[in-house]
Amino acid sequence: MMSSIKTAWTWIDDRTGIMQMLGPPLKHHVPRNAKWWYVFGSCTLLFFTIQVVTGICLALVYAPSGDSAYDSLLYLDYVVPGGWMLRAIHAWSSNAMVFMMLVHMTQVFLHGAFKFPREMTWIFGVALMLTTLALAFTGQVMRWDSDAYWGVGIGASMMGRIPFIGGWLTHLILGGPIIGGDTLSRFFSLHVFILPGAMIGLIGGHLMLVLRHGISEEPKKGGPGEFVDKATYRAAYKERMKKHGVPFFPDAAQRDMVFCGIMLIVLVVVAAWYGPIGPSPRPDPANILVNPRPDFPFLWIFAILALLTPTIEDYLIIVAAPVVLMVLFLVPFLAGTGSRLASSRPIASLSVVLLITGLLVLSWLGVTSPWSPHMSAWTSDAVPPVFVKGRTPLQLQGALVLQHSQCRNCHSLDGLGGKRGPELGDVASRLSRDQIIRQVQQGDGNMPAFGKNLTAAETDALAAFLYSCHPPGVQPATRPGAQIKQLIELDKARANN
Amino acid sequence: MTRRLHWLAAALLPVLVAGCDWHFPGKPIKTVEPVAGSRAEFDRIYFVNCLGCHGPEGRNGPARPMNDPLYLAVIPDEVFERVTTEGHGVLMPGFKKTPFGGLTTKEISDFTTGIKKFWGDPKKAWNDLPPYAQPEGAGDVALGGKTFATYCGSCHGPDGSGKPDGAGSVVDKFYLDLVSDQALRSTVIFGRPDLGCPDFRGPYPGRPAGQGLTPADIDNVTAWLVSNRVSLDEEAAR
Ligand code: HEC
Ligand code: HEC
Ligand code: HEC
Repeated sequence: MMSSIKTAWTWIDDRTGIMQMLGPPLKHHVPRNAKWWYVFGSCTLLFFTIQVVTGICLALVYAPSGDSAYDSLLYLDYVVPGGWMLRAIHAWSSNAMVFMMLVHMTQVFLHGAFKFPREMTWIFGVALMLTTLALAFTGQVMRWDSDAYWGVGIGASMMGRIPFIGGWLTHLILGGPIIGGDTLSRFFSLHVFILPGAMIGLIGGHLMLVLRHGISEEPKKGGPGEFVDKATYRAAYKERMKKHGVPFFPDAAQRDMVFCGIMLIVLVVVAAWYGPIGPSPRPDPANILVNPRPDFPFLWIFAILALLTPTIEDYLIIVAAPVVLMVLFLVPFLAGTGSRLASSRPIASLSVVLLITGLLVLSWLGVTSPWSPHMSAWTSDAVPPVFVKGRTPLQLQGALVLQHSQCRNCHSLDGLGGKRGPELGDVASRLSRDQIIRQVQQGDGNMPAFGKNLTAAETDALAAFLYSCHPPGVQPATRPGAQIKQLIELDKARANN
Repeated sequence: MTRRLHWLAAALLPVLVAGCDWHFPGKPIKTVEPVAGSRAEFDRIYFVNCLGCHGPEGRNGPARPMNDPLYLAVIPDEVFERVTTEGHGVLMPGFKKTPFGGLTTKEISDFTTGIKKFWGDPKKAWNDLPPYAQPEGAGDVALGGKTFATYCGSCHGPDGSGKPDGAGSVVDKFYLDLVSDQALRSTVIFGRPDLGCPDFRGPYPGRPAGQGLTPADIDNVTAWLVSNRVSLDEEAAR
C-alpha cells in the first residue's frame, strides 16, 4: 500500500517536476532564532484560504440580488445542512483574518523587519491590509441587512466627500445615485471577483519577496542583524543563513502548522459556539429596534464619525486619511536603516501603543454608544400619550411631522426613540420657538438640515408641537437660558419631597 | 510529532463534518414567524409600522385612532388597503413593498381583515351609518358654518379658532394645509374619541342627548372646514 502510493508520487513528481519547483522555497534557510513570533503571517494566509474555500461554497447558494439576498441567508441558516456553520466559519474567519493580519503587521513593525532591503515586502503588506479591509467591508454588505445598509450609507457619504471624483466614485460603487438593487451586485463582484483576484496577486508578490530577501532575524541586543546598514546587511545576512540557518521545512514550518492547527480549532469552536454573524433585521425603515453597527474592523471608524462634527470629518476624510495611508506606505523609507530593536526605537514603539489603545477605545465606544439612529423609531416608537393629550390640532400635526420626517430615529421623547440627538420631550425649556425653527431648518453639528425638505406648514406645526414639549411646571423658554432658574427651583422642590 | 498531528487532523475531520449540523450553541434557532391572519401577526405589523403615529393600542396617537369600532364599521376595506399601500395626504406614508421593506399586498389585506376582526365589532348591527366619503358635490358651506357653531362651537369656538380652555383651532391655515379633506371628514364623523372630540352621534355640549349630526350636516360641516383653506403659495406670493 505505502509503496504503491510512493510509486505513484514518484511518477507524478517526475512528470510534473513539482518538487523541483517547491523544493527551493521549502528548503530555503531561515534564521534559527525565528521562533513563535513568525507564525502570524502564515496564519493570516490560512484564514484567507478558509475564506476562499467557504466563500466558494457560500456563493453556490447565495443570491446576489436585492430582493433575494437576505432570504438566501435564511435558507443557508435553516435549510441547507451545515449551511449555518459555513456562514459562521466564513464570518468568524474574516474577523480572525483581519485580527491576525494586524498582529502580523505589529510584529513586523516592532521587529523592524520592514527595513532595508525588505521595503517592497512592507509595501505589498500595506496593500494587502487595504485589500483585506475592503474584503471585510464588502463581505459585511453581502448580508444585505440593516447593518449592511447603514454601512454602505456611511461609506458612500464618506466617499462622496472626496474632492472632484467623490460624486462619480459614489455613483460607480452604488450603481446609481442611491443604494438600490444594483448596489448589491456591484459589491458582490467586488467581493468575489475583483478583490480576491487582487488579493491572490498581492499575496503571490508578498511571498515572492519574502523568499527573495529571506526572513529577518529576531533582533536581540548585540545579536546579529540588530543594526541595518545598507552597505553590509545583505552579504552578512547571506553569510549567517548559510552558517546558522535552518531549512524552512520542516524546522520553521512545524511551528506554523501547530499554531495554524490551534487557530483552526479555535475558529471552529467559536463558529460552533457563537454561530453565524447576522443577518440583523432586514434593512427596513419600518422595522423594530434596529441598532445598526458595522463589524468589528470598522467599529472605530463608526465611533470617529459619531464623535466628530461633519466639518472635522471632512478634513479627516480629505486630509488625514490619505496622510495616514501615505505614512504607512512610507514607513520603510522614513526609517529604512539603523537599529531594529524595539527598545531603541521609542517613537515607533510608542506609536504602536497609542494606535492600539486608540483603536481599542474607539471600538469599545462603537460597541457601547447609543449613537446610531434607530431606523424604525418613526413608525414604531409611540408619541407618548402625555404629548398627545391636550395638544391643539396643529400641534398634533407637528407630532406627525416629527414622526414622518424620521426625527425620532435620532431623537427620543420621554426616553423612547433614537439617542443620537438630545431628548426632545423637554426641548421647550431649553430653546425658544425661533431657535427650534432655526435648528430644524439649518441643522447643526450632527443633525442634518431639513430646511428644503419641510414646507412652511410642516415647519410651523413642528415648532408648535416641540414648543409644547416641556416638563410640567416649567414654562417654555422665550429667551435662551431663561428657564434655568425655574429648572433649578423645580429640582429643589423635587429634592424636598 | 508531525505524525501525531496527522492523526489528530484525521480524527478531527469527520467530527467537524458530522458536527456541522449538530445542535451546537451557535446553530441559529428559527424564530417562529407569526401565522398570517393571527392576532400575533396583526399586533406585530401594527407595532412595527403604525404605532408611531396611530398610537399605542390604536388610540392616543397624534393620528386618527384605529381602535374604534365605529370607524372600522364605516371605512371600506378597499379604502383601508389603498391608503395603507399608497399613503394619504401629506403625512400618511405608504407601505408598498420595496426591496427595503414595506408590506406585501397579502400582508396588507390580512391586516385589514385582522383590524376589523380584532378591534372592530363585526357582530354589532349598525344602522344609519353615514357614508365614509363625501358624496360628489355635496355640502353647503354656509349651512356648515352654522352647524359648526351650534354643535362644535362650545369647544372649538363658534368660528373654529379654538378656545383657551377648550379645544384648539381647526381653521389654522397650517393645520388645514397638512390634513386632507377626507381626514377632516373622518374627524367630523368619528371625532377623536380618545381626546374628547365626540363622533357624529354626540353628545355635543349644550345639545339634547341623542341629537347628533345627520349625513347632510356631516357633508356641510366638512365643506365648511375645507372652505377655510387658504393657498399658502398665493399668500407667500403676496
Ligand atoms: C441624523 C440624526 C438626526 C435627525 C434625523 C434629526 N436630528 Fe435633531 N439633532 C441631532 C443631533 C445630533 C442634535 C444635537 C445638535 C448638534 O449636534 O449640534 C440635534 C439637535 C436638535 C434640536 C436641538 C435640541 C436641543 O436641546 O438643543 C432640535 C430641536 C432638533 N434636533 C429637532 C429635530 C427635528 C424636528 C428633526 C426632524 C425634522 C430632527 N431633529 C432630526 C440629530 C438628528
Ligand atoms: C408617519 C405617521 C403615520 C404612520 C407610521 C401611519 N400612519 Fe396612517 N395616517 C397618518 C396620517 C397623518 C393620516 C391622515 C392623512 C390625511 O391627511 O389624510 C393617516 C391616515 C390613515 C388612514 C385613513 C384614515 C381616515 O381618515 O380614514 C388609514 C386607514 C391609515 N392611516 C392606516 C395606517 C396603517 C394601517 C398604518 C401602519 C401600516 C399607518 N396608517 C401608519 C399617519 C401615519
Ligand atoms: C367636547 C368638546 C368638543 C366638541 C363638542 C368638538 N370637539 Fe373637536 N376636538 C376636541 C378635542 C379635545 C380635540 C383634540 C385636539 C385639541 O384638544 O385641540 C378635537 C379635535 C378636533 C379636530 C382635529 C383632529 C385632528 O387630529 O386633526 C377637528 C378637525 C375637530 N375636532 C372638529 C370638530 C368638529 C367638526 C366638531 C363638531 C361637529 C367638534 N370638533 C366638536 C373637542 C371637541
